[in-house]
Amino acid sequence: MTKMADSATLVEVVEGCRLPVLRKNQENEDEWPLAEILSVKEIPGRKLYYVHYIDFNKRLDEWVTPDRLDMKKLQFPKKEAKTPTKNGLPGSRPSSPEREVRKSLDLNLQSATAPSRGKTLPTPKRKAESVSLATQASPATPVPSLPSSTEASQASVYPAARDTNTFTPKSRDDHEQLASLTTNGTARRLIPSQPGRKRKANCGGTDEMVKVFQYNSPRCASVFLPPGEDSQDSSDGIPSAPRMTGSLVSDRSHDDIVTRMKNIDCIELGRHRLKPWYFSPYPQELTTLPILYLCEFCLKYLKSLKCLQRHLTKCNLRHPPGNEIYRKGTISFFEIDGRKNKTYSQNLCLLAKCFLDHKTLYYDTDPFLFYVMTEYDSKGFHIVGYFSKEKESTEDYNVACILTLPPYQRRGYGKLLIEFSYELSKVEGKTGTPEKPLSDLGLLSYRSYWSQTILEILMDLKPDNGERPQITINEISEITSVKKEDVISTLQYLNLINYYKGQYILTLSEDIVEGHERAMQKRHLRIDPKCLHFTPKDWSKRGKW
Amino acid sequence: MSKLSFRARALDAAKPLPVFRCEDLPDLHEYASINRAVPQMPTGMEKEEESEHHLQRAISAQQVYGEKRDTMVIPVPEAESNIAYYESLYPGDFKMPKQLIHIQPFCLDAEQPDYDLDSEDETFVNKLKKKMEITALQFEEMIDRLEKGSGQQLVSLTEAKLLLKEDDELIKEVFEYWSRKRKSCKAGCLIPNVKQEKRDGSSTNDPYVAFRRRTEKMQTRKNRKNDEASYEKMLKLRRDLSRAVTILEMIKRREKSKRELLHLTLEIVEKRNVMPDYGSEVMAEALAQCALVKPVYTIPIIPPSSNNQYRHQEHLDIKDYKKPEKMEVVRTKRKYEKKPKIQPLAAPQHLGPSVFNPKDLNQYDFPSSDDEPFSQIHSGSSEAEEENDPDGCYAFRRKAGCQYYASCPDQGGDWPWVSPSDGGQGDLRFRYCLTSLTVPRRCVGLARRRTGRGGRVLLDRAHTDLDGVFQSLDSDPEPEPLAASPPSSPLRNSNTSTSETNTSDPNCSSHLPPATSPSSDDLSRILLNIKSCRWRHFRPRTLSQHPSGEGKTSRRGLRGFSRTAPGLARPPAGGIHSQNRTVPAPTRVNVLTVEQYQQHQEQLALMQKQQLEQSQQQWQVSDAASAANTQGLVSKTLDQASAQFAASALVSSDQLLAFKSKEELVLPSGVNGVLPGSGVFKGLHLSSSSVVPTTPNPAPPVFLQPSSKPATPSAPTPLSPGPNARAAALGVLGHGTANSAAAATTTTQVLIGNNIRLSVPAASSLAGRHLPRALGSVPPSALKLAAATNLPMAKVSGAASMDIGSRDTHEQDKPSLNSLADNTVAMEVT
Repeated sequence: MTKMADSATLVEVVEGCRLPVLRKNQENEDEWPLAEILSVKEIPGRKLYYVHYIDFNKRLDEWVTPDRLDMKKLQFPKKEAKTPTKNGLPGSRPSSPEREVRKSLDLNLQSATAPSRGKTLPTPKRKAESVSLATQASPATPVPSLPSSTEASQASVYPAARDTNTFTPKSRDDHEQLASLTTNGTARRLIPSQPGRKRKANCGGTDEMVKVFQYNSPRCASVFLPPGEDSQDSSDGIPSAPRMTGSLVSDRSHDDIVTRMKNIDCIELGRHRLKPWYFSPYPQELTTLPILYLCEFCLKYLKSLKCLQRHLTKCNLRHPPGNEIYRKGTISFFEIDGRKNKTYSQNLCLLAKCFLDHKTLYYDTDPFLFYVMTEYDSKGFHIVGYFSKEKESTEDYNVACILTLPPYQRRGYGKLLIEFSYELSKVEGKTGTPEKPLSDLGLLSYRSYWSQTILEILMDLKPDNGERPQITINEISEITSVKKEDVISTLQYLNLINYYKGQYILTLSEDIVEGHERAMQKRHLRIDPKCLHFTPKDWSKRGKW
Repeated sequence: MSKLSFRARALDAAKPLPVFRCEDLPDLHEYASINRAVPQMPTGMEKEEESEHHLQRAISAQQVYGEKRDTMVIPVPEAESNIAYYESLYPGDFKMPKQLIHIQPFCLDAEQPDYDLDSEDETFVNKLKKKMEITALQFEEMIDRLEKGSGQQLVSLTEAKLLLKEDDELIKEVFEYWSRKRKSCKAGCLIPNVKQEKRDGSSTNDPYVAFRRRTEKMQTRKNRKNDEASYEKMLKLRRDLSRAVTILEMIKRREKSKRELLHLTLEIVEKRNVMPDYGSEVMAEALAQCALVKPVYTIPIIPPSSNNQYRHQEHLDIKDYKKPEKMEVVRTKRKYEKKPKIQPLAAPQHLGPSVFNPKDLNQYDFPSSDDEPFSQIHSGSSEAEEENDPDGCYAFRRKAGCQYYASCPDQGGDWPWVSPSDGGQGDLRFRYCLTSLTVPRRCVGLARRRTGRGGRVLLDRAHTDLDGVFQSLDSDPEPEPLAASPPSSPLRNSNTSTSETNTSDPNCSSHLPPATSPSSDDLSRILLNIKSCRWRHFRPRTLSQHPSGEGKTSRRGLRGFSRTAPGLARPPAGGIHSQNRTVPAPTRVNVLTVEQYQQHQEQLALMQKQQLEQSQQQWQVSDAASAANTQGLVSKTLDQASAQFAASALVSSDQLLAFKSKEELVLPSGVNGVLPGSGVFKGLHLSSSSVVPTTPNPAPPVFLQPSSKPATPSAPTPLSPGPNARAAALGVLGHGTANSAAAATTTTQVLIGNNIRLSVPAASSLAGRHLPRALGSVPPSALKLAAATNLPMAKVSGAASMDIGSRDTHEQDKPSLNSLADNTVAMEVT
């Protein structure tokens, strides 16, 4: 180890370098996953390196001391050729610091992409359009600029002027798209001066495109036609704001080096200390503090314990400042209007951002309602988690952001939040789906909830007049308020849908049934619809958010 | 694999899917390959994240085991719980409310400062506490205000003083501390805030900028307007509320000063008692000194002996503190009152009842908000008080909102009566005229009447060499028979005990030169003129008001109570109908001479006769009208009563016309028909003879007499039909006839009020419409009055019934009436 440290001092470890870094896994065993240096800082006496473990979630990024770096395997930053991952796609996104500045496509492209803003699943029509574009593009691959074609033949080109390239957005953007679209790991680079064509040029080939569309069409399309958020980082000096609906960004529009790194070290909230997972735009002067103090009830941020004490003499909140619309036992839900209660909503968002990577705080909270789940004790109603919800969603979203605070995670609260969100949708008489993208934890939680919910229904089906019980996907959707697509994806995920003798059937395997029964036994926390006192408002009629 | 060519149908969400158990389908695996045909649904995750190690592990674990194992969970950064000091930090006394918590949209919680004291501040505050009074919260509030008051630039010390309400010293200390701290603070702001977007849009990329306002509001257009309106309303509400707060604060301050003042006064009185300064010499001395130092306001001292000047001591004592120092000098009050500088001429318009409205007086000027209102004139003006306070209701009272200036003796001001050479307007009405008094009957020489402060009527006398001659003019013993002489100004205060005067007729006085520069030449011409005009000089008269009582006529303002407005026909000045049945007039101290009494008796007799006449003539005229004759009316124009009746007939027929359209409706329903009102004179006495032609039970007509009650103080001027209309309405009310009758009456009144030819039908209908409102505004006393008048005079017009046929002839009637009216002008009935 000392040797490594020595070597670190000998060889300059700069941002973008990759090397194995020691970390403990869940079994407390030493691991040396490959990591990328995102930042270097010098504190008196030593250097600290902010590392991102490749193929691990950003939330595990951390500051490490030089002795945890394996200098022997140091790779210097490669501009173009990112380490190809096993499936041919680039590794986890943060692996390329170059991406911190996203390029915008040119204006033509922007207009073309406009309809695909947001995270709607692409319609078949758009897919077809994309395909046709790609098809047409393939012959045009050779663009006038020579470098692109030459580079295309070289799998790993090391651009000489890496630093300049870092801030030449177009090329990187192209690269990223390329990386996303091509499966062979070949990096190609286009000249920025050809923005209108680069996309087409990027297409590795019609065959590939079709294949991609076939299996991953929605995602592919979204990459293919980058959402409008990209454009805000355009280097052409015309900033444009991201779309105004929704709460999440599907791409890394803010994915510069600042937002890729956690900026808050520790948050103290009530009796808990939280280690933030992601960047959150708390006031910059507070990010240097070892501990950021939050008032447990109003979530106001304070720089010191003394300030918190003072604040508590003035703050008489003992619950979220909204109407309690659900209470059973110690669990309560409070509804907060992001327009009427801006301060709290913003404070909540700032806190949530610490744990939600894709959450955007670009815009105000006006169009959202916040449903805060609390647990009561003699101190008050303590926040456990929350989800936000657009007052009016054009895309059937019934949840924008959803979070169980880390101290309460893995105790069933997340599922409770999800269940509550669907109970609200039931009252509204709508089906709903969470806003995309989902995080890894979000995906697991939702899949788990959907699985249990659907299985509950399927298992309860009784034979009808001696015939096989049957049910339509629409019926499942109506009963559960889970959107049809989510029902189908869950059925697929559970491998329940089978094509049998000319028709689709649902099959329940023993494993599934047993697993479900086991899971349901563990699921103690449930929402009781009788305890819900909720009247949906027609926000479109209010003319307000 | 042979089935690969088989193309599966798309999954139909609406199609029922049978549910099987796997064990029931042993051959299922044979079909497994077809599963691919089901389109793969996206996970909804970011592509790159989907491949993350822990997620993949977790997913595969889930798929393998059906339930993820603990080791397969996605790791997250560790968080520690159980902060040691948590228990002490948050109070643990919160009880869960039984009901669901419901937040009120606008709670009245006191605004707490956003700034929170840190340890550095705490040391500072603790240090400061030794010097002055300050709490942590107060400090926070101050910092909060300073912070919020500063934008790009720091608040300056002077601004800070405006911003903060604390003592200057404290402000200075805190301000210095704050500016020091703020300068050393990198963030530039002591209250940490999430970065706001910049106006120029340069902050688009700043990751620390959050919660930008959405430029495009996703609003439906229809509501926007409403939003704006309610926003404005909210703004207004806020403004009003803050104004209320300000007022309350000021009241608080005022009450504090008052208390202080009271203590000071008490102290002074005690000191004087000790001195002892019963004669208030020391006081006067002190006051004089004070006056030199502080010319504006000083604390007045009320000498014990002067109490009788104040009818309401406990109020006035304090109230008078506010008077200008001139007033405060003991016993200068009367002198002060004699200076007529206070009221501009326009003011008398409001000098009627409004000036003495106790409410008005009470509203601002009085010491404390909870002082009971005390009335100035109407309440408790006992004889004794009148003696003590000869000014009576004209005693000077400060009026709210008025500024009072010291007199400037050397400057005449621009009063109407001051000659142009002195800067006044030299109004013709204020020329000096020959004037004689009724009691004692003598000519006082050249004099002019004007209105002084508080509505006092003042007589200014001019001294000339010819005074002796004027005296001799008194030899004419007979009063002029009411040579209609328009007064120089309306006598609105006729219900007072001060003597009233009439000014000379403008026709006459126009011959008079401006009295301010009397020369002997002019005066001799005046004399000539006067003589040729049969001595029409100004004869002030005391208003004769009979002691009220049944059967007594209340006469007031008998003479010359007509307007000076030119171009109007002279009213039948003497046409005063007094009713025998009169409402008791308010008790008043009247100077009544024997002579006046006799005169009045004569008038009474005359009037009774006239009434009789009138009723008879009404009969005649109605006959004539029914015959659709026009000439008969003219022949009777010399008679006042007939004129009246004719007028009323006109009105009634017009009324009928007005109601013609709904007649069918009205008549069967038994509503009282149109009632012709009969003569009303000079707005003083209404007499309305009601005739109900179409109903089976004709309502007995009545002579309405609104009397000389102060309820209609301005009644004497014929130009004010308002009160008259009110009175008429009252009469109708008292009588219980239909409203239409009132309308008729009202119109009649207008008619008699010298507007004889003016749009009678329109007026009638108008009056009818406005009637209910007029009724609403009638003071209760007047209502009582009307009730008292409600003694049917059946003999007069009980039998008088108007032929319906006259309706048809009203068109012809009108011109004749017009001529009648013209003719009536010259008529004098006294």
